[in-house]
Amino acid sequence: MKYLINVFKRGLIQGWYLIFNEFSITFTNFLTTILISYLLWFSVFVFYFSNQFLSYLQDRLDFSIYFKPETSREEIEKIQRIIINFPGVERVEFISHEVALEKFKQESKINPVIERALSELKINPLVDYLIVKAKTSDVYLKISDYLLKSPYNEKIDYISYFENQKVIKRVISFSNYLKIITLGIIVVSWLFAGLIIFNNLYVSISNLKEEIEILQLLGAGNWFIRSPFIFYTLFFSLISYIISIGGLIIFLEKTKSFWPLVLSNFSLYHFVLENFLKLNLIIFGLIIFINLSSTLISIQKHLRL
Amino acid sequence: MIVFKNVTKIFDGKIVALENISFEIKSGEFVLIIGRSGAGKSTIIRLINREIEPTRGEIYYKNLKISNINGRKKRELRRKIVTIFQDFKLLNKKTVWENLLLPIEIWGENGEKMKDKIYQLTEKLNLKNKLFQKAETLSGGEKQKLCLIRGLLFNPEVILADEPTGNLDPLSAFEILEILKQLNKEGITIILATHNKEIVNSLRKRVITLEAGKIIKDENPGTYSIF
Repeated sequence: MKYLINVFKRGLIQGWYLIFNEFSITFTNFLTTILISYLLWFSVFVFYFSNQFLSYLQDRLDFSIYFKPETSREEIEKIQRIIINFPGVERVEFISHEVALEKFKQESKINPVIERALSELKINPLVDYLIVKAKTSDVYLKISDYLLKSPYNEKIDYISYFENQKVIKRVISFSNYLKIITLGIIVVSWLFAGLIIFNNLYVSISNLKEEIEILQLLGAGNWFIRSPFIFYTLFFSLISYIISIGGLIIFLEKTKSFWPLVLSNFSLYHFVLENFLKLNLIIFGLIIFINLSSTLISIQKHLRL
Repeated sequence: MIVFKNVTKIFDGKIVALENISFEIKSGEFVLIIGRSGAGKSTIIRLINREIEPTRGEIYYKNLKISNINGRKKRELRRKIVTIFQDFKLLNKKTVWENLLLPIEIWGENGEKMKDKIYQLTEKLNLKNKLFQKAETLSGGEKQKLCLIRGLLFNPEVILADEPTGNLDPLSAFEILEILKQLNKEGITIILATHNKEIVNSLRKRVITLEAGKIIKDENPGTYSIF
């Protein structure tokens, strides 16, 4: 116990002194850690952005079932009742061909060509349809599957979902590629950061070779000699992380009004604020993991006692 | 107290530093290990303080086999067997006081009690007025005294001295030898490795002579011929 307290005390004090004694090395370690912390934040933002973008698209996903002109109102209402009972369905709205025409006329008012064409038509070219709103996009797929296999299929002219779905699939695939590329960049940067810290520790150990030799001769144990390097890593990781957080907060504050212009439901500032503790724990945990593992490997390799 | 049984040390698989040597050093003895450079004197010192392990054979300290001890036992051994070197092995940028606090920090001993001991020992060896001077500003003799005080803080049973006077002027060398003789009289076993014939002739102690890693003579005081 006495030995452990001793090791802890030594690590704490000498680890702190190492920050100033080896300042040029510490400075490189600071920069590396700050860079890695920003890369991790960037990856979090990429993930958040792609998820938000997908949900934005899905929210605007139009799932409408257009019926053939000969389909009766009763039959459509029957199908409406079936769909409303599907799990995950929020609402099903019936739009008659008369209402559809009125809506279309309203929407086309600004276009005189369409307005003139409509007035020249003697019949209503539009059909009855149902607008379905579900909580998640997979519900739409289940509904369309059901309808295509049911006897009601012959009453249906077409379902708008399939056209939209192609776009959604492309966006999901793009988002997945973006996530993989981001992860790749993070992993490569991690390896570089790990190598930099590993080599910097080697330089620090070499600079203190004489002192280490004396400590050994006086009976210092392995961890008594090694602990300052471990605490040094913890200290510079913590300090550089605090610096990086400061920079991030300033960045978010300055760009607070910009992001909603890119995407209406996308607010980095609020996202970070709402998940501040969770995100910081994860990112700082990852930084500690990479820095400490590089330090331990370096100690194991270069500080064989 | 210290027993070497058929000890061989080979470096890098080919350089034979010691070859099948056996000897015993009794408690309270003052033993000189002599021989030319490369004869194996320092290797014996390094084997006793467990800086290196023998390739073959066994080394005992008070019936404890120390040739392959590690961890806590090795640390404890270095508290009982201290070493002083020709190149001192001091933290030159630190003060005398800081150098002396280092072993206290390592062993986590009671600070006040040990500080009293620092004052006593520095007074005894005339170093008290230099306590807050940097080690690099001390003379060679003073540096060696500092090494001795650092070693004496925890009442060692054995002092290993590897060419302790090698970097000293004759007056300082004589002073260090006098201190070692005094410590020996107080009951501490001294093992001194040297190639200095004046030291050997003046001390008149047991001498183990090495040549090419082998013991060629082990003579008691008064029985050996002067160099």
